[in-house]
Amino acid sequence: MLLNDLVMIFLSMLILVICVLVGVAYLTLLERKVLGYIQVRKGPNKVGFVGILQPFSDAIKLFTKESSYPMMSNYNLYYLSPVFNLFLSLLLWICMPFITFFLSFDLSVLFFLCCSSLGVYTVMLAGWSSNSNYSLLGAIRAIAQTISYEVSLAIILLSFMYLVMGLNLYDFVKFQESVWFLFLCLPLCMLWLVSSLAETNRTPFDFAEGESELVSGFNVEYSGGGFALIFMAEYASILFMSMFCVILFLGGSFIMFSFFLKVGFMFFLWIWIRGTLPRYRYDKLMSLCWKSILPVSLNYLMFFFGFKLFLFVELI
Amino acid sequence: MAELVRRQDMPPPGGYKPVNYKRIPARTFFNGWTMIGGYLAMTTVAASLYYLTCKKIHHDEIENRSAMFAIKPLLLAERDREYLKQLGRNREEERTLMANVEGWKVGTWYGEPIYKLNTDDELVEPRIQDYYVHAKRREMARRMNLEKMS
Repeated sequence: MLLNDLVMIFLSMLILVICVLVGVAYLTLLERKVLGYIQVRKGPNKVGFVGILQPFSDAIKLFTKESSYPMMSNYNLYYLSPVFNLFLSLLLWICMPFITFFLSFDLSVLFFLCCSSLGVYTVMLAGWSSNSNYSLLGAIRAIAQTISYEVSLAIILLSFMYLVMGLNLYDFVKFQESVWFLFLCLPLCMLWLVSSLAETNRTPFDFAEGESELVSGFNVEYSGGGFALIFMAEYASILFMSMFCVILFLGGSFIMFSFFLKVGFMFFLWIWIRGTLPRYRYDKLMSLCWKSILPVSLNYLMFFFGFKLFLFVELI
Repeated sequence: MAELVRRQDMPPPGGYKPVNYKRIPARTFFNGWTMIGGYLAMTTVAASLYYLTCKKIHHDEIENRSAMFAIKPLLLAERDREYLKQLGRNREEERTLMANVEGWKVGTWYGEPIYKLNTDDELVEPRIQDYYVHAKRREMARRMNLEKMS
């Protein structure tokens, strides 16, 4: 029985990882297509049937290329940090309660916070161990941005946790049965969206890879497989974030098909934002975080604390 | 060859149309006050719906707990009954197994009880190894693993 359980858990995790990676592959294809149509061109449409095999062709190309490494790099760290980065992004997924509830556990919100904060270290190590000025600067930018936005992200999450009074992601589904949290706290959801854009280093906040001044940011020295791992980690976390958004404030009833449509819409939104908005300015980004989002989310925290207290008194 | 007629190119009668240099702002559907009003209305409606959900969840929790309280004694009694029945089965098994041993008294070591101060009808709970002594070793291992995992 014990062995059976272990094998089943291992198998379900394997299936989860494979599905996430295939999802990531098609997310990249979707992004290239949507960006193409936004810029009035076609995007990839040659490989396979209308470009459907493009991501696999890219992956094969990247993984079969010789991976060069800088002579002066701190090789072990340089080699392992993309691996660890992808590992963390895939690890995040086990806190999701899917249709089968597979590893749904209490404190899964805390697990999310821990894993997403650990992601900063891999970026830091990747940037530092490459031993290049550009990658170091890119890494420092990414770290400063990510840990600043993590504060407000955690506080916004705290407000949501007041609403459901629990740390299990399944509680969100229970409490949104009759009304989505989007309608209950619209500004907070918008703040969450902005913060998670900054957290995943996406446009308009993609200062980690400011092409005009930093070549490519913290991953400038990576090529071939290492680059592919970093790229996949980034897109896996985007996919996760859009799923998390749906659970947080778009109903999130993951036993329905509409859940996946909503997830699709959310990452379409991510791509749409990338195709529409220009890059922000770094100091403005920081002051947006510390001077606008943080105070507003703190106020909301107090508001929901009072609101919940009031309801609690009513219910007892 | 017809004589070339030269003509001065002139602005259209009434002059050119004014050059359109004004900014064309995006169409606005709502002004600030409508937006704030809409937001407040939406939040109020959502909050009342949320209150109803909370009430339902609270109610469900109380019902769950009451059901648990109601059924727990029954479940415990069933468990104890099954346990005692199994102990009886173990005793009978020991009796048949040790039937040919001279001087063996069931539940004791050749007539010597486990604890001296126990009265005759007092239950001494066996260790897990003693409880499973007539079963397959695998069954015991499974049970012990379960206990370690829980």
